[in-house]
Amino acid sequence: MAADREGGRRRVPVRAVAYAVCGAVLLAGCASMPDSGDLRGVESTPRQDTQVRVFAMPPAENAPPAEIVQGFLEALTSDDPHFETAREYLTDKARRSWRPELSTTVLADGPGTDPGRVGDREDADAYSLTLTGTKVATVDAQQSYAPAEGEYRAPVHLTRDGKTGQWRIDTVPQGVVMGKSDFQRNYMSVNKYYFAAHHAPGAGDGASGQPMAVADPVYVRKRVDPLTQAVRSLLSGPTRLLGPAVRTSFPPGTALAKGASSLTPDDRNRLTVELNGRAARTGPDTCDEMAAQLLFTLRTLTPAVDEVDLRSGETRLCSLTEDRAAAVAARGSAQHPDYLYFVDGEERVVRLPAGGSATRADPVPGALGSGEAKLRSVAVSRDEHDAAGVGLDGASLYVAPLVSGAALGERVLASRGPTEAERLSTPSWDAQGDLWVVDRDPAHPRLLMLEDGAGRPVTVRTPGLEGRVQDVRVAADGVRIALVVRAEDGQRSLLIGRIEREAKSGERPAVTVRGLRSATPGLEEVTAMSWSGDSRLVVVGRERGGVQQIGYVQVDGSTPEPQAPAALTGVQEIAASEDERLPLVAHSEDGIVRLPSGTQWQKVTDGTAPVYPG
Amino acid sequence: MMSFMKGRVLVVDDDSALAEMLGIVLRGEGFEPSFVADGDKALAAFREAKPDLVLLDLMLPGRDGIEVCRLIRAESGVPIVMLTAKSDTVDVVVGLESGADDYIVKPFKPKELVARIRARLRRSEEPAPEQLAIGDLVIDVAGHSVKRDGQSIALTPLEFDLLVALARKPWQVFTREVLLEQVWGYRHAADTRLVNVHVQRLRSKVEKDPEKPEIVVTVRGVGYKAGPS
Amino acid sequence: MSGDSAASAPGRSGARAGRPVGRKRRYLAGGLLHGGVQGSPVLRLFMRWVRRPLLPVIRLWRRNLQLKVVVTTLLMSLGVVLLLGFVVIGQVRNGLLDAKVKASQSQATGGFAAAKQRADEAATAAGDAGTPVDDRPSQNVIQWMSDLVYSLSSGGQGAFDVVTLPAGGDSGGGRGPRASGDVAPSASIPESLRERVDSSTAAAQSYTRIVYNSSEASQPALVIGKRVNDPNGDPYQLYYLFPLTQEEKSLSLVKGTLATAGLFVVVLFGAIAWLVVRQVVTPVRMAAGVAERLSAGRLQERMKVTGEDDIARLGEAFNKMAQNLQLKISQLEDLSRMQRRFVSDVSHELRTPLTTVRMAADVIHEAREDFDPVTARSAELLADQLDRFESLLADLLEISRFDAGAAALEAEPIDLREVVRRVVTGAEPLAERKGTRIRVTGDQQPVVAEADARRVERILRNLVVNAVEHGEGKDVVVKLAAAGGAVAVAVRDYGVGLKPGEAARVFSRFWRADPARARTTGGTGLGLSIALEDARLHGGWLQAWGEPGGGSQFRLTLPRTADEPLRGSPIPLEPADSRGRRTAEGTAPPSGGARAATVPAQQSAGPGQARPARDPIPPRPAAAPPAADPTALPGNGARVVPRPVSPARRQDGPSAAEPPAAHGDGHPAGGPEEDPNSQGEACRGR
Repeated sequence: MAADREGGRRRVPVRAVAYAVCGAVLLAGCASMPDSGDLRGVESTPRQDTQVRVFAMPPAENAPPAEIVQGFLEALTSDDPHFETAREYLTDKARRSWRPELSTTVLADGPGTDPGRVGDREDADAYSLTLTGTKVATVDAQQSYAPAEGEYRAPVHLTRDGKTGQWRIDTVPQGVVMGKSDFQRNYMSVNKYYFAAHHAPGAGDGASGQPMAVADPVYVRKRVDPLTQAVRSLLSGPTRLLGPAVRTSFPPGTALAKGASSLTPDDRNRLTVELNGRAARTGPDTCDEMAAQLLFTLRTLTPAVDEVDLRSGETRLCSLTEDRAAAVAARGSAQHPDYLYFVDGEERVVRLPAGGSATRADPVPGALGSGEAKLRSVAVSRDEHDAAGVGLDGASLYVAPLVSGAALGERVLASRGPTEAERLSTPSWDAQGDLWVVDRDPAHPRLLMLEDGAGRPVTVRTPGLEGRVQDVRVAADGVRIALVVRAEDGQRSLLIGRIEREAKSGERPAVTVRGLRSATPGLEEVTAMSWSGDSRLVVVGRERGGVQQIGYVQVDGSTPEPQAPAALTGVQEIAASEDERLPLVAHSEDGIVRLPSGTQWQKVTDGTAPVYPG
Repeated sequence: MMSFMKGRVLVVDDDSALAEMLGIVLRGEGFEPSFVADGDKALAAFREAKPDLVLLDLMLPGRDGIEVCRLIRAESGVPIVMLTAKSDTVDVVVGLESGADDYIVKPFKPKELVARIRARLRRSEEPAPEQLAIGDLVIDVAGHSVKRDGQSIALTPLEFDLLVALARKPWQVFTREVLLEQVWGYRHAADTRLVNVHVQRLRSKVEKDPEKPEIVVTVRGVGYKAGPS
Repeated sequence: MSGDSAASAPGRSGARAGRPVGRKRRYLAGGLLHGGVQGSPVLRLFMRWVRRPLLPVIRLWRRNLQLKVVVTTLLMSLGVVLLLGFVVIGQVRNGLLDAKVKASQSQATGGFAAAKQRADEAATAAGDAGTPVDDRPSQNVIQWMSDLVYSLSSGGQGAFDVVTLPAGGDSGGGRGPRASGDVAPSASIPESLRERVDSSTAAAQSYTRIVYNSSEASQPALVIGKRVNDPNGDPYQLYYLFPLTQEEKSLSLVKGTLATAGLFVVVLFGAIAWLVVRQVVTPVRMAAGVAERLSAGRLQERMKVTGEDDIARLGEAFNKMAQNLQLKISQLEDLSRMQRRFVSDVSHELRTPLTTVRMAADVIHEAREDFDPVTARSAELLADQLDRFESLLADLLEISRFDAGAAALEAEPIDLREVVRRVVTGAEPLAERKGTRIRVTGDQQPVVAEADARRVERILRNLVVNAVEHGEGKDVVVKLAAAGGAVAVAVRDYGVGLKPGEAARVFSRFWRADPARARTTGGTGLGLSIALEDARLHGGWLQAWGEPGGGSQFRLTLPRTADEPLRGSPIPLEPADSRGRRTAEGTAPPSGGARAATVPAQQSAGPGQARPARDPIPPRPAAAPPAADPTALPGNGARVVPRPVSPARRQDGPSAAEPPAAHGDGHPAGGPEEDPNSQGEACRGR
């Protein structure tokens, strides 16, 4: 009995101690920082918006004229959707006539005020002054950006309202005027997409019959429902510069249905777009194209849109997801090149897997990789079946398929330029498989196009072009063309134009490059350039009085993205892909170097003339 | 009054003076008393004398009166009248329960004693033949027998009288006082415990379940009556 | 005053009739006074409605010590935890804020300096550009300021936001507010801070709540502002807003921690209290249970004692107490048993020779005719005195049985009418001799009570015989009644009555109204005492009332069932035809004090004129609280009462009208039963 009890008594403390130890261990686990376990994904928290916003203020009571003007200009930089606050600074008459959406003038430093004539200033009920500044660019009614130069002067006239005794602006320049940084803060660039007009079935890349999407950048106000603005802009058709070369799948007159206010994707990222009656009778294919246009356009915007649902009235026209959109239409930036090509020390074409970190280049199959012909530069067709090489002396152009054992064949083009530098440029393939090349022969400068990389070269007309074309790059969409042109004064600038083909049956096609416009008004000497996106190029050039630098430029000449690739000296050639994920590759003093995103330039190997297909 | 009625009376008392006095009185009334002073010898004397009635003092040397009473009752239904100095509940009830038919508290008057004795002996007069039924019992008054389903039930004369009194007027509720008067012959109301005890005794003999009496039914607050036939 | 016996019916009904009237009047008055007739009853109903479901809880609260202690502990610990929480949270909050404020201030100061520097630079640049000073000013400020805000705010991603506001209210210089990070500037900057910043060049700070233009929830923040000049030299207000999100998170962490800890602490305290109280309460409850069983007579009950702590000591002491109690009780029981045995033996030993003597005397008495006259008379005397001796002995033994507590009640339902009939029949011969007629009233209905018929009959025989003997040949009325939980029999005579003070003494042993009076009647002087004991044995009352020359009334009240306590009697003690009553109708009441004696007296009642005063309403049997007078309690009255009575009588001697107030004799006779004292005095039966 006693023994039992004693045993029981001993057992109880033992158990209690065991429990206490277990508890202590558990607690100790809680009480120290964990050093293992709990694997899970991290949700990225969106960074806080540090954008500065300007809040428009209505005019104060009895404000002097100078303040009225200041307030008006401030209101122009605000997010006020329809400039309602800005209108409050205007007289009734001016309020009716003022059209802010007509244009946006971007000044280098913001508008300054130049007091008007002395006589007016002393008038008790009227006041004049002039807005001054240096123009940088203008955005037209189509929201298309165009670089501009020169002095900006616009008269402003104020009167004192007879009844209220308040100063109001009577005469005001149409449109909106603001400083460059305000513009960058308030506007954003959006690529609208249309389809290349000339595209003929069966030609080149379009073997699948896919239309080719062409980017058409416009500027929309960042904070005033950019999505809806972009859609409206898309519906209203391509900008003037691009217009003749592209088509839109939206029937003419298509617009958002009346009453449709703001477009917002639902929680499954699906955007429902209600169109007016014009779109009601489109076929499913056309509708898919319409949806693809929309999807491509809205791709870069937030909130993201993964699916577009088109409606007209009560009818549901079609619905397209992003995945399917790739099957409906092709987009340059959506194509992924397999290899990076360049010319190695033995003057033959070698290649590296694109995007990889490999440094050992293999010769391409076929004649060009065999070293049969010594090459200076190379271009590979976008399907990577054919390659064109320019001989070491720049006088000969060879085209050979990238197939093992294929013979080199005859040269397809010869230049009679007196010096090596005045012969053939690096060729460029377009999306249809046509080969473009420049013959710099001073005596007979030409821009040539070889259909399918063979046959008789077609001389491309370039009406209105002053100076000699030095280099050419055709965009993946086959519509835009970038030319480096050397003016008489020796300045080398980058011009962007559109390709127009008039195919007359039986005859050789007439190809013209029109709408050429400088994309780099600031650069004095453009050394190299390459397409780097649907509407973007990477340009190596030198500013007036500056040093060589690398930068991106939009086809419309704006430079929306402030960040430029890391600096590199002695760049002779540069290659970029429309697929922005692939690294920038350049031929510099160090040989072939590349810039994988987020790092510094790395040397790859020795060689020259690096190109991506195109 | 009924001097012709003779009876042998056995006096069981240890007090010789009282016994002698009782003898004088009883003889004076025409009874034939015999005496025994010791409880141990009482049973033997009873057997020898075969009395018609026993006068029994409760306080006896040797066997006490209760014991003697029980022994006698076990052998015979002869009327037993207890002499007791204690009218206390317990003594009387114990005496009655042990089989005494009646009791008389000392001191008593000779006439009272004689009246009780007579009352106990009176029933030896021949009754008229009579057949009564109470519950499932059949009573033959003349034959002094009670039967249930032909089975005879042994009752003391007093119990028999009690049963007959109830059975004769089955419609009537008898108060204890009435029963005392009719069965015991009391002129004045006396101790109703007599009735209670004897009804209990009677029930223990004639009822199938004494807890749920069917023959002698209690009428609360009044008395007893015969159960339905 | 909740007397309920039917006896009170007359008076009671009057009172009842009056009461509702009074209540109604009160309602009316209240309603009129408060202007809202409905208000108070509705409120009361509401209160009742609210309270009803709470009643069990309240009862539990009152009865359950454990609940009380646990709840109290919980409340107190909750209070302490809350207080502690407030203090700690307050300190943590202050600490967090201090650190934040210091960091913010240095950040903001740097920002203000930077803004000033940029303004200076811009102004210098403008000056260098050589543009006329009065043209230049407004040129760059719009963009400059946006750029400034951008650059300042981008310095601390999300750590703070920057806001500029025009100086001097919203209209200053046509400048619009600027804000980074989607902050709504005018809603976020308190007006008081703006005024302060406007009025002085020093930096100022304030707490505020940042309101966002987007859907983001607003949050508390510290805002530091200063008036700064733009390149033109125009002042504007520059504010740094530091959201206190982190601090709030830290604080809510602390709060959560404290709340959790506090919860645990409270629960712990509650559990501790529960355990401790349980350890204490369990033995206490056990002790209570054991005590209850002890008081119910199970003297062998003991507490279970384990250990040696205080509770165990309590248990031991308790058990010791119980043991001593049991010992004493068993000793007393032994004593009582011995006494009873002794009495029994004595009675037997006395009776046996007495029986012999008795019989011998009877024999001699029977034969007295044969004796000479002297011897014959002697025989007669012998027989008579033997009778008396016998009854005296019987009574003495009976009384001694009561005193020994040996009397046992054999109660069963009986009809008192039967008993009364027998008693009256038994008393008929005596009444005839006295020329008295005995009338019985109230015997139309059965009057059934659980009682010992033998004892009741003895009581009633005593009363009736007494009444006949003292009735001086006038009628004796026996009245029966039953109401409520009681039955009563009153015996009324119209004889000499009782003198003041005598009503209390009639029940004393061997007491005689007039000592000088010849003992013509053969009473032993113990009859009423025994009757009183019998009544008390039933839990009933036996009371006497009388007035000198007006006769007397004795009333026996018995509970209808044996265990039920009596609260009133169906028959008023003072009969309706008392002289006092009769005169009361006309006469004004004299001072109450003097009348008292009449209350219980039998032969000589209190002065009749006294009564009316008290009794405009017929006497109400009172619902006398039993506790009023210890002597009135059942069971002890018999022994206690006679003693106080005799001194009282002595005192009364000179002034019969003024019996000792302590016994209530001094109260007006009219309402004997309204006064617990007088009742206790009068009704020994209680």
